[in-house]
Amino acid sequence: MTYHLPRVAALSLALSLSLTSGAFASPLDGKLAQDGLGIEVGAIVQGGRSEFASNDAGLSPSSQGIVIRDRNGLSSRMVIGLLIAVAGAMAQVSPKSVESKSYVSGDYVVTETTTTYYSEAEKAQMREQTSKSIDGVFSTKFSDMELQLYSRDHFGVGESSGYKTNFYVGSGESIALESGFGFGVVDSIVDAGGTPTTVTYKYFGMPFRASVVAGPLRLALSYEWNWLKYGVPRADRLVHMDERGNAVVRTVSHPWHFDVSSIALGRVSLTAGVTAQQIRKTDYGYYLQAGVMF
Amino acid sequence: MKSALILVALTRIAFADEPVPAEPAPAPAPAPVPAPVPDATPEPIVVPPAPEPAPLPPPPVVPAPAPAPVSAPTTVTSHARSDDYYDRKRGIGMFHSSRLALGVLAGTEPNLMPGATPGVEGPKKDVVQGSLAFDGVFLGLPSSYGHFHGVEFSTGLRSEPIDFWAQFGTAVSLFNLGHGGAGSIRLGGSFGVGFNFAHEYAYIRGRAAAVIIPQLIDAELSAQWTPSSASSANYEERAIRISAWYRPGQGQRAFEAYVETIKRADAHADLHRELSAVGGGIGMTLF
Repeated sequence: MTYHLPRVAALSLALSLSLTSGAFASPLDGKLAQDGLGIEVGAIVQGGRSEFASNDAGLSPSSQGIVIRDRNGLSSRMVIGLLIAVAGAMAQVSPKSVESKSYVSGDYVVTETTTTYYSEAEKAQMREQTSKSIDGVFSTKFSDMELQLYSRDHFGVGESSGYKTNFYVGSGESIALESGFGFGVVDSIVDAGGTPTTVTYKYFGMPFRASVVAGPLRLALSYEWNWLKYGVPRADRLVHMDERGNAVVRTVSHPWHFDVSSIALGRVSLTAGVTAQQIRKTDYGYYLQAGVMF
Repeated sequence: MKSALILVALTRIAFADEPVPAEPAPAPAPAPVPAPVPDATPEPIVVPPAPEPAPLPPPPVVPAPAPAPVSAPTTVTSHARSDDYYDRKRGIGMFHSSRLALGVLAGTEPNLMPGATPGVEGPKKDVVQGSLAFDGVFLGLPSSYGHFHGVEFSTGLRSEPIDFWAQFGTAVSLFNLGHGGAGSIRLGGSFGVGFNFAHEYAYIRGRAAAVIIPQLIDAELSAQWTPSSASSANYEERAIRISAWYRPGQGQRAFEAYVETIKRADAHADLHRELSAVGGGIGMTLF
């Protein structure tokens, strides 16, 4: 099943324009979706060539799960702040430089290694910079933590099981620019011509998102730079048998997402979006999300 | 218009607070004119001495500000105390921010030899564990939707086999009904990450608390779940606890009795850290 991004985008734009015309009072609030502080608990459905699908093998799992999202709250700020603190501490104790040189002395090859560590003044400066960075994370206008949980056993009737999470912080006025990090593992068991085939998605990388409020809607374009895409051999991206004799395939991509979201009736979060594993290909996936804001 | 009236009123009040301006000094009294003398022998005109200048008026007296009205002694009603005690920003039970608990668990675990390779489901052996736990929840951040967000953490030890856990997450109030009377309900939730000696994990938790006897006894049902997909070792972990708090005085201190059940299992194999146990204990709030 394929979905055409231009058509969906045009429909979204038309809906946005009709709702912003002021002809009637809209129950939707895009600004609240963008600027509001709240936690969403809801459900998510994904289909088509989502990031969990395999474009190479032509397998598109149906994924259903629950979603927990902390918009502009503390979760993402705390996690990213903790990472900065750990990175700052590691940087302080790590060597500033390591130099090695070898030379022949008689019958021996002598290697001298000079390791230089940061001075106390430099460490103090690094601690100050780390502290400022953490302060900056907690003072940014936007933050977002989204956790998607998929299960074949406990909820939903989908084919996927696993999780995916993204942590964002960002700033901006009319256009919000956010970035952070994310990770996840989702495996889907898809019927491939009568053979159950496990499609494995692994993600560890850096998401980027630009979003804007358009009347009652919030439009967001995001890109997930998946570092685990690199180094996966071609053979693993095609259906093959693992050591247990099961049909498996690995899916890798840097997916793009475009979604339209809003808060209905001041309480209900609604999101609809499309996913493209590759922006130049016409195989698209979709996702729908609905939840209650607290 | 209303704002203008208020502004005028405030302006007048501001003027009234200023010092009273001094009254202008009275004009000096004219020199007394001598009374006419009957026609008689003319007498020399006696010029009377110049009158003394009139005394200056006393310096203006700034009226002392009116003393602040003394409020009548107020009676603290039980309802007011109840509202003070029933604070939505306390995330454990109905009224508490932290708990320190001591308990015991009894159950079963896989009967595996130390160092043995995990295998298929097999016989179990009994296990008894002591536990010491400390939990805290702070909800201080109001959301855009009328709720409170905050942080929670939990840490503790279990004995035999020794286990240690620490977890940290985001907590939120989901629903509040009532103001501390019998039947007042609070629903809350949280999610976060943690680790113990079995695995690293993410979790979600739900809490439902209710007032049983106002200002005296409240109870909470708390359930935490880690799906196997959010476990680094493919464990699914469930923990359910029912707590009752007794508040002996009028302070924040309360004492707890609880029962709990914990199940940590891999669906496909016996692993060393699997556990299925039921237990209970006592605790107290710290702050």
